[in-house]
Amino acid sequence: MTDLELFHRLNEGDQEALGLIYQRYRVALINKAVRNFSCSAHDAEDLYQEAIIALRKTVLENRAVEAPEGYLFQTMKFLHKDRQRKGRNTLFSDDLETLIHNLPPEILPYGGEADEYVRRVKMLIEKMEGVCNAILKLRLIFEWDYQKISENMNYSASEGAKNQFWRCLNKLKEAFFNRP
Amino acid sequence: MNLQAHDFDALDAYWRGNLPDAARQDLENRLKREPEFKQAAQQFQLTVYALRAAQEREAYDYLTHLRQSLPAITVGAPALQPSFVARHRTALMALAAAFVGILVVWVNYRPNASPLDATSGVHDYFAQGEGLRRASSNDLLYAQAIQDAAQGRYEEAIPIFKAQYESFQDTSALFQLGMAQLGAKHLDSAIESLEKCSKHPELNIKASFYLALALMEKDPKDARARQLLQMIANTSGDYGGLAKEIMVNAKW
Repeated sequence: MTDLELFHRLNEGDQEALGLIYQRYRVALINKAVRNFSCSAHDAEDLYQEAIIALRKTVLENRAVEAPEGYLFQTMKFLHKDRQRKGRNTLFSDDLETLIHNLPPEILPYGGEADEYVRRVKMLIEKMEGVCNAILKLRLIFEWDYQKISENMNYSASEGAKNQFWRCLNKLKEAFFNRP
Repeated sequence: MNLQAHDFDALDAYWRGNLPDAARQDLENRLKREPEFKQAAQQFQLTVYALRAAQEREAYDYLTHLRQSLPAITVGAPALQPSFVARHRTALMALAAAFVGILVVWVNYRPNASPLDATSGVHDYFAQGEGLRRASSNDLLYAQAIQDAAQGRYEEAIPIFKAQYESFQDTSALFQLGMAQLGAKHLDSAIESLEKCSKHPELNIKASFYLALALMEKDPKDARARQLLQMIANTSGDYGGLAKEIMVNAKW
């Protein structure tokens, strides 16, 4: 299976595709990182895992990745330097942490802790009815446009999918901001 | 606050830096003008970012689980031969001393490079990190490309800027591309990229300035470069002063 086919599967919400991409470049890039960054294999694999998460994000945002191996190595290099500079360990939730830092405190419900927000939104999305759960993930995580959502979820027009998405997002936001 | 679905779509594109300039300006004005709209937008942003972080964490956990099930990687021993260093220590030290000597002489007696040619202009532009200000924190590859360019690795940065421009028609990326092409001395491509940017109202002066440098790199007496510099020299900003200086040096 080609990289493009795997990216396509990833865009369709197939988590296994992420695992296949992970395994495809793992040995080569970890070896390369150990040689180039003078780090342990364990640290190199941490960098590789985070680079795969960055790749996932790029693919889900429908941005072109023409040479995945080069992309992953460049990302690992960036993360390695970033780690040395800032001493931070992980990449994920970075956008959320930055947002929390930049928002006025009166906007932030229950303490302003990223971990709590992640836990709470996960619980809420799992509790939501099937349609809302699916449409929110398709639009916000897999970046499908309304046309594609309407075709796959049997709406007569993209406007129907858009209205449904908007209702579900409002519902999620209301529940998210209501104190538990 | 009556925020609508189309407002959310515009906001989401804005948060990702993908909103075209005119729409971005409108949205930023609205956010400044309407505090209730701004507050509602922030609440949606927090909800959506938390959801995306939750999904990202799920993917990360999935990979951690997969990683634990895979055989550990045996990294090949580095091919370093300490005996080589030991055998040639004296020669290596002599070489290092000679290198330091040459470096000292070069630093002290090198001819003064003009700060106003294409090479130093591109170097200064990237070294000041100007491009980084527009790269979002999560745009890792773009940030890496800026770093590559700042260290003179223009060839590595070019395909990344090109992909960013082609994917999003992002004029800033086109400008970075033009600068990296200029740094790599791909003059025709640089001229083409900077020419396009010079038509963009926000980049007009800056892009025209570097376009003039690129044209002068091809022909130091280029008439179009002279025309551009004359136009820029009539403006009041930094580029106006630089353009005047170049014209004086070129005896125009």
